Amino acid sequence: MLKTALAGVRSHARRLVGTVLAAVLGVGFVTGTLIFGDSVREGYFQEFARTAQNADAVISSPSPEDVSRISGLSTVEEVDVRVVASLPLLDREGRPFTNFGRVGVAVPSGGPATLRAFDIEGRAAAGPGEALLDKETAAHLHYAVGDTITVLDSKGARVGLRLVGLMDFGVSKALSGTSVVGLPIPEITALTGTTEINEVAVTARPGVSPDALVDSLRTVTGAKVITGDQRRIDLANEATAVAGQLTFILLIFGVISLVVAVFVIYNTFAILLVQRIRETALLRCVGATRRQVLGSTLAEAALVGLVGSVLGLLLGVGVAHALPIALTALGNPIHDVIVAPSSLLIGLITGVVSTVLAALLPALRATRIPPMAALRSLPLTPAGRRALPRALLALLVGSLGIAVTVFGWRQSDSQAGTFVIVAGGCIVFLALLIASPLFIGPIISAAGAPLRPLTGTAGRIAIANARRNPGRSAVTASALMIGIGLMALFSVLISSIQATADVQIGLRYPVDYVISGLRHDSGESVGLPPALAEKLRSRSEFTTVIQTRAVPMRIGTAGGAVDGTVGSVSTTTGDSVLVRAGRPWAQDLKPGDTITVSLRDKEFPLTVTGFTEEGIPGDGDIDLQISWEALTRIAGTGDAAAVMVKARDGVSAVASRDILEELRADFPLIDIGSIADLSDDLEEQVAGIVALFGGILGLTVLISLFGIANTLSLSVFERTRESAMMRAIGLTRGQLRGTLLLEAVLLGITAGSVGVAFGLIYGRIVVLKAISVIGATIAVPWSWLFGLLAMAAVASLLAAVLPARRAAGASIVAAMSDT
Amino acid sequence: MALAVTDLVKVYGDGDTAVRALDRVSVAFEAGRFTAIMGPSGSGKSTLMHCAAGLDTVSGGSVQVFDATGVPTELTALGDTALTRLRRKRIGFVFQSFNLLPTLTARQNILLPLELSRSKVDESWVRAIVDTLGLADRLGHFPAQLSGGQQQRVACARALITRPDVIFADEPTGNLDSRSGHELLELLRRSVRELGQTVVMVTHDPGAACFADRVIMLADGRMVDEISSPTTDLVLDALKKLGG
Repeated sequence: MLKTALAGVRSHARRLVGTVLAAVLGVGFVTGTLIFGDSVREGYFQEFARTAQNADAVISSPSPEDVSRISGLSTVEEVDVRVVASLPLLDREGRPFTNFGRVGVAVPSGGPATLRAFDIEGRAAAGPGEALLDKETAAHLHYAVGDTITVLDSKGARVGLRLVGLMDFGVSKALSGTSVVGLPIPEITALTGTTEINEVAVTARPGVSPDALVDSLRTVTGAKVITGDQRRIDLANEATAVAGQLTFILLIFGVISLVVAVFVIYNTFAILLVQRIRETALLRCVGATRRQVLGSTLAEAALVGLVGSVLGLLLGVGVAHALPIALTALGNPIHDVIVAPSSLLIGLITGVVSTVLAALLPALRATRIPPMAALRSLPLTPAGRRALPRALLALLVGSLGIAVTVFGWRQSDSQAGTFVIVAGGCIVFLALLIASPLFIGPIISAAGAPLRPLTGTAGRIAIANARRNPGRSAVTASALMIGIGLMALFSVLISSIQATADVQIGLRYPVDYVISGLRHDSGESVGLPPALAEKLRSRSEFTTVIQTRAVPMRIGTAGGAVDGTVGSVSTTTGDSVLVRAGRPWAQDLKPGDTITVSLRDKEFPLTVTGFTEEGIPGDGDIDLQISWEALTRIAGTGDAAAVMVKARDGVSAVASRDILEELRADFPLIDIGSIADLSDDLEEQVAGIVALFGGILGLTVLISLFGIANTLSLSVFERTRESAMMRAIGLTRGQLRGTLLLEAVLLGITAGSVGVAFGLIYGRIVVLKAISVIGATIAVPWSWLFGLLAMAAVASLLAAVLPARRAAGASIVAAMSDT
Repeated sequence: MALAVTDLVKVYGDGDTAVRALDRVSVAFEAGRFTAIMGPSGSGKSTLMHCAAGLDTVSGGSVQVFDATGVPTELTALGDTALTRLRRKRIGFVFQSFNLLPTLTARQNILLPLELSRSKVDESWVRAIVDTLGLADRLGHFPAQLSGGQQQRVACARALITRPDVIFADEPTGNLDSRSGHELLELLRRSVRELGQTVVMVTHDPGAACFADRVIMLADGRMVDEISSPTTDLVLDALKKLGG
């Protein structure tokens, strides 16, 4: 029977092209994601491994005294002290050189060559006034050895340093994009005020085993000591975990595209086997068993899957090369693409198995063809549709989905609730897919109704044809439905989040500008000294100056003290103590309870007055929000997280902005954002996310188009004689083409509108739940949604061009004699 | 005169593999008459019909359709769209099978040519045809709900609806049982007698050919015989002569 399968593939090669392409895209994306994941993991691994390279033991966070004791040990050969301290570098114009809003760092320059993470071109910085700079930044700012660079010390003073060498970090991208200044350790302490040591890596004297080394180290330090090997294993695990998360998200999209591909493949086989009913029946007549018919069909599917998957693997390698370009902004280390055999194997197996599974149902149906069908001359109509069981099943699944959604809606925890709602949405969507053969006909008619006067008979025939086989139309449309539905959902979600943020900013802080500190490499913001706010208060151009502040403290809870952040806004007074809702330790708290915070070993009892779901401008992650007076009482005066100002009426935007810009002379590490800018920034970020998800989901739309092209060319094929008859009695080529194109457009619009409707409803529900606490503002991006609908229509139109041309170009006589 | 072909040549393929399906065939089909085209397989009878009806291109010669006032239109000079429009209005077809659109009701199928040309529906004419063909109670049915004979009658009604200059019927009884076949042929004859239609039918069934006023015999792409007022015996004899 393998021979028949091969012959089947050969004789239907053209009709299988779409199927193969669908498999190619699905497998390509899955494989691409896996390969990309491997590459990212390897990137992280190399990155991390560099820090453990050659080390026999690693000591975490030792004190400076520990370091001197370690250096004195007889078991220790070389010592590399690792410090990463925030040290802003100024560019030639005197502005801080930043990477995504983060300022640069300083690292020790004088470690032993075997242990340090970089090579030096030139020589190590030996004393005060000398420095190294990383090659990347040097090239960017056009600095060379001998030039003088300027850094800002911890007090904000400018310090000039002479470049004596450049640091080459090789493949490591850990500090890529950030300026890295190499200094002797005492200079780092002097400039940044940091005495904290991240870790110390040591090598053993010849003849000393790593274990003996670790034992000797433990005698001189209380800090955590592990062997270099252990460190390398830990790093490998960490790399896997980090890369795994990213791969997981991408894989979800890969699976979605694969599911769409399965729909397309199922569809093709279903149609193909209906067309081959007579062939199959003939096989049965000459003695093929049902098992052989099934085997032959599945073998054919496996073959198609294999070809598609192999091509998909090639595509996957391409995708793996392209993904880093799309994801550079996420700041992952970039590594050369690693094509692991396991990824290829998984891609291959997934492709073949899903193709065979997709073909299973149609193949089983084919086995039920009686040998007598070979003798029947009438074209077989699809078996009677069982509308009632289908409706009941859809109703059952739909109710389950709605029940899950309602359950999620009632969850008190918004995050868990959102997940449950999303799961409910998936089930409802499944119900939609099950029910689609029942409702797709009326929707097609409704979509076609406004076109009727324009298109006349062609339109009526197109609608009738699209409705002719609702099962098939539904499967064809469902592939597109999934893609459009997801895109619609994301666009509602994202634009609502943006709108909510806009409204919140505007509502709560009627200010014009927000001044915040640039961020250290660690992600922490540079504080804004009280002098900055004082200076602004002294200006008559501003009516309102609000400070916010966040102070790390220990927070006493029922389960012991935890590290937390206490925040405040300078407009608040009194005794209000708001606990951030959703914190695990805050679950049993209620207003009136006492909560104790401690700072510098002093304890302060506070009485809880309520709960809040929000952070404060400048720090979204605070655990407690107390009044400004209370915070000042506990922590004294200190740097602000953000300063917000409102200009007096009549002061022009240019004038107020100029005043703020002048601040930079005294406070270089500030970021000045107008509320309008903030909104723009947000919009830009949102646009970026939309583009990324849109691109990925666009792939599913692309796959579904193959399905539409497939279905159409197959139904054109089925209708060859019918079309010829129509041409004979007076349908022009143009009208025939128009009919088919219109049929495709109707299908596209139908699928698109169901998808958009789903996205609209669930997008809303998800938004309302996910950001329920701050009162979500729903924004429906109508233009986007109509764009999606138009895209579905246009894309379907394109998919139909070739089949329509082929049908219109066919000779009437040849088509009529076709059997 | 409703239709005339003159020196019609149709060659399939070229060079060594060229097949001359029609070799200088000239024949005129008078208006208001029922003509049958017969001949063994491969004689060119279907090709003649396809060329005469403007479904296929010709390699040489002329095909002229005459309107009611006797003005001729040369089909071989028309482009595809003009030809399609001409077929739509002036030529009717009844095929052996696949005559009807399964998605349309009997009535919609009958009116399809009018819809395609966006012509007005003459309800009294529709009624006359439907009554003649006995389809009055079947108009709302879909083709799948009709018997084979009923489907062919609907096809006849569709061919008649535009009052074409000529109706071509290609083995119209090929898929019917003999009783339905007889009924259909009788209806074709009545449409000639009572409605003044011109009908050209291709058939290989001598019994069917007898319903015609005149039978034209084709063999090897040439017209070889012609029988006026045919009977089954006459037709069988003529066929025997051809078959040798």
